[in-house]
Amino acid sequence: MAQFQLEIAITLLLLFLGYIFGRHAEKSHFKSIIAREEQHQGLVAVSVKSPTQDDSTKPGMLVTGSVVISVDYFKRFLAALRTIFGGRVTSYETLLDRARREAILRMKEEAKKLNAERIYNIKLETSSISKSASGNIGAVEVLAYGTAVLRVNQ
Amino acid sequence: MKFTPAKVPEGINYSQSNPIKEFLLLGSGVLAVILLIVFLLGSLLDWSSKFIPFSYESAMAEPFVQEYVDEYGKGSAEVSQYLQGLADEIAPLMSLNEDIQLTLHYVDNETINGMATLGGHIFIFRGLLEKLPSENALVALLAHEIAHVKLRHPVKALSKGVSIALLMAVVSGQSNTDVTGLLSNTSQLAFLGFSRSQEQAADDEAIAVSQRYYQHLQGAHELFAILLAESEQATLDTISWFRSHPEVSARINNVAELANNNGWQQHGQSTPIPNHIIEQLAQDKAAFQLKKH
Repeated sequence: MAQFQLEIAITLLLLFLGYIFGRHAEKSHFKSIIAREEQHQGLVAVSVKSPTQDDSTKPGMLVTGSVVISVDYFKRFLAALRTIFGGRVTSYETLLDRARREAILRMKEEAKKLNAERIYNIKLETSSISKSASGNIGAVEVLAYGTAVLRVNQ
Repeated sequence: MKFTPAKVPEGINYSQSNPIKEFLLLGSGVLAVILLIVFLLGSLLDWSSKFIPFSYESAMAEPFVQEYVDEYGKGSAEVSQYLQGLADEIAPLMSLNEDIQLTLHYVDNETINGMATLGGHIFIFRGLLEKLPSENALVALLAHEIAHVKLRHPVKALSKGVSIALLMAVVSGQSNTDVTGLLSNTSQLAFLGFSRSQEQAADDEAIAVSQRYYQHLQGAHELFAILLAESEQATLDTISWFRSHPEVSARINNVAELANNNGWQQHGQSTPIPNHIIEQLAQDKAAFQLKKH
């Protein structure tokens, strides 16, 4: 009985910590994402495969950006509850949204360093890390990559 | 085609709903389902425990009864025999099932307690024996414990305990889902308390037996008077007889009520506990205190 109570107490503590810190991390991350997206808005990044005629003669280069974000205990618990009843796993939606946007931003930041004009054919890969290891908290990785067209010095 | 970069609109790809609200909704749903299962499983086990043969119960009890006796020390055989004799005298008045065997254990310990557990084993502690003013009170106490055995309360408590332990293992998942481990812990589960309704049923039996044995309820009154006095100054570790037991004053009222309904005599001459037993108890107490210091 005492052991069970201890387990419950630990779970509640983890839920509380997960909620407080997860919430804080998410808020500040969104803030940073929104600010940086505005900053890099000028750099066009599209999923179009073939560059425009103008761009096709310029040098191209692979640019990537990847991010790994861990899910907090509260989110994971909520998602586990969801798997019982079904429905939208809303607790993971913000997580993936943040990961995708952060990955694209990192890709853009790399492209900017290379003095790129535009990025074509951008693609996103999503994978989960340590999904199978039981008892481990999961993390999601999103990789964004595309072909940057570099500015030609004239 | 001209491409104009635009600001990404916020909040399309994720829900703005309150996670706490979702958590509470889903959590209470799961809890409700679990409680329902516990309730259904508990009722099922409660109902089905009467089909468990008494011989199974005895076999299950064997190891931990021995362990328990070893832990608390064996009381003198004289007192055990006296208790056994009394129990054997009142048992025929209780129409026990034929296969039920009663084994009385006298425990040389200060605790004010008496209890019945699996396999018809009844433990009476010296602490409680010393408080009893008469044999009538002792008969009421023994009848109460024998009634637990007769009504199969220990096995019901055990099956409920096992089902709850099993559910805990399921809920908490992980390492302690070892079902064989659960059953090896029966010694712990065997001493689970009985529910209030079970105590009430045992009380009713005890009162009826007092009437049949002595033709009056003096013993039951004396027993509950002691319990009342004790419960008023009870600290949790000295007295475990009251946990889960009904309010003592309600039990006293119950005696009066049953007497009135059936036209039983409430008070009468009480028989004292034999002198040699009282002496033995005093000796045990002296020895126990000597050991403690």
